[in-house]
Amino acid sequence: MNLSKSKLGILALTGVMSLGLLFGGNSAFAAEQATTKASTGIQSGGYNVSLTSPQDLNPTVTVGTATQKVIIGKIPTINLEDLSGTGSNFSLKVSATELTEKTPSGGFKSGTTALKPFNSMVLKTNSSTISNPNVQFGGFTAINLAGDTSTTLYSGSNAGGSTSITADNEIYVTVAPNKVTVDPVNYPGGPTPYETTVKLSVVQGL
Amino acid sequence: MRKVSMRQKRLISLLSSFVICMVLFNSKAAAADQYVTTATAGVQSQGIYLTISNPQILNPLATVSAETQKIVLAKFPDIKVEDLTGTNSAWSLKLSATPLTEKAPAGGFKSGTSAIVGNTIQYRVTSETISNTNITRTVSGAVIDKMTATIYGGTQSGTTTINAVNEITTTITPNKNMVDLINYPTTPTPYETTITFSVVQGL
Repeated sequence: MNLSKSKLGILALTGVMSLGLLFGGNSAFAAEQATTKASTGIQSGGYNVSLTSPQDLNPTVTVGTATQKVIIGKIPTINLEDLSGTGSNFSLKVSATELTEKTPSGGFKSGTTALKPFNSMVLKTNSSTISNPNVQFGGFTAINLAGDTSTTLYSGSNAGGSTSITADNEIYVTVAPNKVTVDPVNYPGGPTPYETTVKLSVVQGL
Repeated sequence: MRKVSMRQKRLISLLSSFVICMVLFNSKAAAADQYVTTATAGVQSQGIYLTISNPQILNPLATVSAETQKIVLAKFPDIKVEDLTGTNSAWSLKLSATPLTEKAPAGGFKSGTSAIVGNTIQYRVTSETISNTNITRTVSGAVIDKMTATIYGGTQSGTTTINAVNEITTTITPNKNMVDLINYPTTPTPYETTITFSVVQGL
């Protein structure tokens, strides 16, 4: 088919216009998007402390002429978890109930009460190996646990996850001959038993 | 033979000339008989459409634990791309997210505090069924809050459906402080991310 130059020119122009329309259409839709929001809530897992293989030595002591140091327990491994998610400072505190004569089966005989002869019960820490540099020893090498005291044993900040504290420590009392420590009324046929509860807890702050 | 008068001769001559002219004109018109016209149509693109169906926005509640936890924030099992550009060009499906950021409490953050920006947002796909073979998976996993990931691409006009087993996750570690007790003293600390799918031309 023979076409005049003017008709070719018109067709060429039409082609360019169509191409222009296509490009214009594509750029307008080239970034089609779908957007949504996703959310989550995060809450603290708190602090956890546990003891691995605490040693309740339950020694039997015979009163002697000299004052005796009697080791009643050890807490060689303390496991600490900072799951607070806050990075806050915290303190690992230790406290104990007073070393007290245990109640006999049937209760204390009339006119008698539990003996509490130990005015000193010491947690002595000789050394500690701490797996986390963000946890430090509190610096108290000898803590008198007699009575319901609470003293910082270790402290930390932003510990995150698990910390293992391996310690050479011991809890001991002294038995002196001039103290009334034996109760033959309530325990006529055997040693007089005593008991204490040692508690470790984590609190926020130093 | 009948004698023709001079008047008749002139008339015949005139008619002959006219007839010849008519024939010539007619002949010339018939030899180049063409009917030329131009029919045009404007065809324009409808562009590319993206549809995300049945999104699962899970809004999980996570408690900090001693282990690193993967928290699944959302899943997008049904993705549909309609390439109506009319160009048969390649296209890419891209995915991005804003960093996981603590939401502002009612009344705004307390003085001296600001939003905690959490850990990264990750995308992972374990399997999918794609409605045609021209579109393929580009990556199986990517961190999407620091850069945009191209997750599928190819050349396919018309409709492509992608039914995928995928997830948008973040991780929570005990040594990353993401609990804000100052601004949210009694409730979990809320976080939010904006996830954007986009389909663009080109690979």
